[in-house]
Amino acid sequence: MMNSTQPIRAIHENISRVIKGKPQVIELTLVALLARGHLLLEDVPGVGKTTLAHSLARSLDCSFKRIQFTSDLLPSDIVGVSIFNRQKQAFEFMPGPIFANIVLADEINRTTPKTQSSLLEAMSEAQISVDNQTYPLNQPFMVIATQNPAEYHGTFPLPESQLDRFLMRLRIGYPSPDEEKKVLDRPQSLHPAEDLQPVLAAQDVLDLQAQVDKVFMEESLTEYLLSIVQATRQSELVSLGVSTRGALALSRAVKALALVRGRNYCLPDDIKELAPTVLSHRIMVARTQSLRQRSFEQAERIIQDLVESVPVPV
Amino acid sequence: MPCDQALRLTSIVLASASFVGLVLGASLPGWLIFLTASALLVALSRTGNVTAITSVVRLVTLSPTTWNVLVLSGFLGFWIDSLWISGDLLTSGIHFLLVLMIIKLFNLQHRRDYVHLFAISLVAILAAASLTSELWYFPIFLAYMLAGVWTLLLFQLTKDAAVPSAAMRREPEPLESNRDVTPKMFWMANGLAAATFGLTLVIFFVIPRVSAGFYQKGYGENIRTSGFSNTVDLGSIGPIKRDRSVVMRVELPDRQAHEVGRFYLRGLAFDRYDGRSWANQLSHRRSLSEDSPETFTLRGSQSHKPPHHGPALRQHIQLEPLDTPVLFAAPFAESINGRFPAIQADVTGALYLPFPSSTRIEYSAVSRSNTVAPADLQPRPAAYPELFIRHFLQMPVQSERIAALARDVAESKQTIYEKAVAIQDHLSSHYRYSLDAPLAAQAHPLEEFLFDRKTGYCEHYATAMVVMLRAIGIPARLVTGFLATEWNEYGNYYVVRQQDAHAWVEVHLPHSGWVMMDPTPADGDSAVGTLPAWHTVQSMLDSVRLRWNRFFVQYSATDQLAVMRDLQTGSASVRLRTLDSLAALLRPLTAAFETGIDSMTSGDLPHVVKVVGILLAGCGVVAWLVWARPWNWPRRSTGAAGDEQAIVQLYRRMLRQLERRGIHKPAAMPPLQFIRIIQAQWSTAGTAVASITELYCRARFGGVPLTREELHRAQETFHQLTSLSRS
Amino acid sequence: MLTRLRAIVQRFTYHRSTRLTSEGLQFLFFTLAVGIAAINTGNNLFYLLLSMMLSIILVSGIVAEHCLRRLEFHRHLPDLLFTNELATATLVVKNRKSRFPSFSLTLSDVCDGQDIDRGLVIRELPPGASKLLSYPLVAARRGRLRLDGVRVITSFPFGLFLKKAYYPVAGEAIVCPEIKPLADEVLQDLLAAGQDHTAHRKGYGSDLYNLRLYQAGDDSRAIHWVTTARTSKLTVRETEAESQRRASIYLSPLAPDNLDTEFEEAVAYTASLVHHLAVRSYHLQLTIGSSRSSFGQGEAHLLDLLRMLALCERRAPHADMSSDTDRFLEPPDTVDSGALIVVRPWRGAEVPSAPVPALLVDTETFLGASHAM
Repeated sequence: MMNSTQPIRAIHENISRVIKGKPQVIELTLVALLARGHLLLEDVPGVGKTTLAHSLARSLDCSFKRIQFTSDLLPSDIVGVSIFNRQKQAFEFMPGPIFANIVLADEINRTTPKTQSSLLEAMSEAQISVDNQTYPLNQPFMVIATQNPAEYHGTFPLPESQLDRFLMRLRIGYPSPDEEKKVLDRPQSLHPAEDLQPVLAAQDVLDLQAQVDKVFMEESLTEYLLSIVQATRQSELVSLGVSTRGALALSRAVKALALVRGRNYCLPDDIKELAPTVLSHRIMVARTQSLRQRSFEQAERIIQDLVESVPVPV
Repeated sequence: MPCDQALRLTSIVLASASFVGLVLGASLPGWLIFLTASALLVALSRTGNVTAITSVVRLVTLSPTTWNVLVLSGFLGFWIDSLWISGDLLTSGIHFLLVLMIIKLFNLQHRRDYVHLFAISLVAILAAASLTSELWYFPIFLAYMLAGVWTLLLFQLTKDAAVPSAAMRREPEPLESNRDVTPKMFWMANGLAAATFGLTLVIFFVIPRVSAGFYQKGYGENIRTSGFSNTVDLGSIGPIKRDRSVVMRVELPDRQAHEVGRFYLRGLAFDRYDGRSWANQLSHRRSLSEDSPETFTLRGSQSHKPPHHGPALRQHIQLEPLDTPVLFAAPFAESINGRFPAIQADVTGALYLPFPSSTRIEYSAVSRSNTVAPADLQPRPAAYPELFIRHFLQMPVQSERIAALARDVAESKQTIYEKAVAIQDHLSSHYRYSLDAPLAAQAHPLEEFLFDRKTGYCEHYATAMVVMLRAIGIPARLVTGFLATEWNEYGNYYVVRQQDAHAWVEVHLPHSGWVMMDPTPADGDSAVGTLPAWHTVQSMLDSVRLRWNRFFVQYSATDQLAVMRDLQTGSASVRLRTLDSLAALLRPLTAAFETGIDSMTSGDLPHVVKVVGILLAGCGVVAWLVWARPWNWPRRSTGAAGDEQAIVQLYRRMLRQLERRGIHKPAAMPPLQFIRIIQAQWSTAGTAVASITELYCRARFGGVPLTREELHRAQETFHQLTSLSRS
Repeated sequence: MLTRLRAIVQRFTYHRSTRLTSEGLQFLFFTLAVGIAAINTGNNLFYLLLSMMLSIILVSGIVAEHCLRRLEFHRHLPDLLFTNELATATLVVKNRKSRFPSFSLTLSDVCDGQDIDRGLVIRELPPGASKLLSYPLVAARRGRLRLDGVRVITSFPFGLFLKKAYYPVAGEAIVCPEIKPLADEVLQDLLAAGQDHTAHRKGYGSDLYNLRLYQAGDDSRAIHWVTTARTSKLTVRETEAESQRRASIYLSPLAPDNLDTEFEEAVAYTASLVHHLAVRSYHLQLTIGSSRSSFGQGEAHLLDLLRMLALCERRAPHADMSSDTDRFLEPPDTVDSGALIVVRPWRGAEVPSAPVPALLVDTETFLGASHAM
């Protein structure tokens, strides 16, 4: 158990050499990784979403692929295609970019729902079916999807059922002025993450993921978590509350956070911290609150208020 | 207990307090008292849901119209009462008020009924205040105030339930519909009542007093004394020698507690004895001059101005309303200080009010006693003016035997003073003191006393001495007053009762003037013995009564001005004075404690055990309340037993400690976030809180029990935390 | 200096006020009576009773003031409302005091200096606790709805006085005109026009349109491998363009003052139209006078259009229209702008002429339409 803190701290330090001044974001990314979940980054352009994903992949000595979603992207561009090889007179499968450990799906809301679903189904099933053949995906496998919140023109927002597949939704945000100055002072390279050295092997990541399952969550904490979930279902501000999948996701994320912080047991603090991040994209704000049913700031505020109204077990 | 039931209870307590006040203050007819008391009890039992009473009451429920008719008939009864039966507006008004209260007590249904009951009880307590000024009013007032604050608070808290909200209620509040009186609410209400009480005292002492208006009523009846009218029969003091009612209280600010002994208070002087009764023929009164406001000085009414005076003695006297206008002071009064329109004095130096007072009065007097001048110790002949011969050497007829006795006793002495002392000693040693002397229906009571019975009391002794002195040509007169022997150590004052009425003698010496002498034996007038414990309680109660009269009933504008003047001259004196009065107020407690110690050392075992037991029980209850704070206990959740409970309890105690220092942890805040709050608000405690929290989290949520050392370390850290002071 | 002092005094009195309840009035009357009796008789016990009543009044004032202090509010208002439609607004109250709870709080919204009672009552708010209160909100007019603050009233502790405190908590919402379902015959013209307009053509989509041989310059992802395997010739798959339903709506804001109600009806009709079409996945563009939106589709775009309609204002026609000439009166240049619907509340207004099929909606039509519900 004790040997989990050292590698996690190593990854953290490694990534923070490139991503400056955002320790919470790096921590949550690690949480998502260890909890076998996928990440949705919704942020303004140019704050380092690609760099984050790239640094993570480099630190773990894992393969990294970036998919830039456009409106004319086809499912085969993601998954791969079987090509007829004239010499061999047989179909050959050319795997698509999804067969990597860390996949960055950039601007996922620019592409048609059909293409989106091909990626999302792969995320949930961890395998690809093409022409009646199933190809399993690599392990560890993590998708970091990004969305640009400001543009509405020509976008296809993710429907609710698909949002549920992401473990958490994050914002990176602009760095603080000091940090931004450090970024500018650093010798500018085109790919800053290229200089990173791996600190962990893929198999170690799998071990850590297995350790997450063994983290102890006490009964009263489970009840606390469930009462938060119940509150989202019963509140009149929310028309669709958190599903059981969401509760499960929160539970997994809390255990991963405990492990990242060097504990083998969970605390109420973990649950309270993670609830807005993990739950806010899973609820539908009631129509009476906003016509924009997926206004994320409002959803986060509502989740925070609901969590404040639930007493912590003593 | 649900709030509306509590409201009923406090309203009934309120009504009872005012009812008790009225009962003790006014003389009410028995049937009215009985009816009101039963109405209160019925209402109380209805609150407590005693089924038998409620079923009976339900049978007897009358319609509102019937109640209105009853009210009207009560009103008619009030008019009949005031015009014919009692003739007094106030008493009939009080009767009507009680009838209203009875009707209202049976009718407590709507909210406005509670308002009516509150108003009725307010008028009742007001009426009780106008009828009395006794000490028992204060606890009644306290009870009324406590019940009043509780009732107002509960009335307001139940108002929300009664008024439905206009718009629709989205939030279901099932738990709060029948709200209970929580322990926190209980202590909050008590806190409010205590704050109200404190503020009441402050306002009471600060509010400027306007001088009295046109409606002044005396309370109760005056005490009937005897021996202080212009003519006093021999033996008239006798009957009151068994009456223990308090006549006055005398404080001596200049004397210390251990210096006290017997204290004489002079009333009237009589000069003419006709064999059966004493008469004061020098009763022509003259108004005293007022040198400064409220100070009346007695200027040399005596023809002689003796040079030898004793030291000036100041007294503060609180006199109950008597049926005589005489003012008492130590012999001989020089000046009186008090709120009187005028004071008169007669030739003998007795002081009078223009008419007997109907209320309790307070005044101060400065007196000087006359000591025996050395010139009077030499044998000198004396010549007296004609006034003296006519008044103070007057003898009754047929007193030859007495004269012979006097001459016998005084034969061997040369000076007048020695002769008087000889007669005094003869009387005090040869005659036995007894209160059983028959009434003055005899023909010659004095001869009987001197020659036949040889038993008597102060009147006999004094009369005999005066007659004997006059027989040998020494001017003497009889003085009636009081002899104070009971010293109340809790309040440092003399308690003077009716039974302390006394008669003694004043002898005129050529150079010293009128000198006081008392032939009655010293141990004669001892008070009736009572149980020492009861006596202590009585003394304490009496001193509290003195304070009540002084600070509340008699509090006036002059007292306020005096305080303000003191504040002007310097706050130190005020502080000392308040400290003194505080010490005086607390003295009963310390005195009780000392008596407890005394009884312990004297070995009075059962008494000791009782006292110690009660004391320990009281301390134990107080300590448990302060330490454990039972209203703060949260509802227990299920958890594992053993060491985990220990650390959880420790964490909870830590939270309570922090709350006492002003840092409160909201219910929705998890432990680590709370550590950050602590570090922001009270940084010195941050490490201690962090370590305790860490151990707590590990044990509570980690499923791994703590080791003994860790638990011990947590306890030590907690003790360190309690010793820290918040900056 | 004087103005600052006045501002401070105003701040104190504006934010706090006290009123007597009926019980308080009776209590004061009694106090006065006891006071007169005490002064008249000089009886100190009357003074004692008077002090008790005065201290009750003082304690009531102090405790009520303390009850109302240090409360924190924030609102959750829906950002977009519809007239005459029920919405839920939420108010979160937090007691920032560390020790003492607040009791018997009644909350009401303050709008333009008027108190609007929402029926919100809190019995007890423990220290540090927060409570979520929701209440129904119905807006009567379109435009901006502004809520200035919250007024808290308590009659704690004794129910003698009502103490009011004002907390400025701003909230703003935009109220859209009411959306009513439209009669179908109005739109059948539109659908017919749309149908004529769309033709099956080649373009980006998912349905199969044609299979043809590979030519240089074709996208290699379009190669249909199964057919290629069968025919041994590179075959490319062509897809059919997804029919796009497009419409452009023009609302004329010109109307004289006496036609105000007609203008509001026109706005409401336009909103219903926009909603109706957007729900059927039309690409819409809205032009109101001189402001034009982009073409767009989807819920967010619908909300933008509705927001435009909520905030638009009627313009009275001036004598010279040179400066106000709408630059959008010219026909749209893009061919593919779809059908044009013009809503005109005033006959005197100029409307764009367009080669594309247009539907002109005049007062009678939309008034008649609204009456046909």
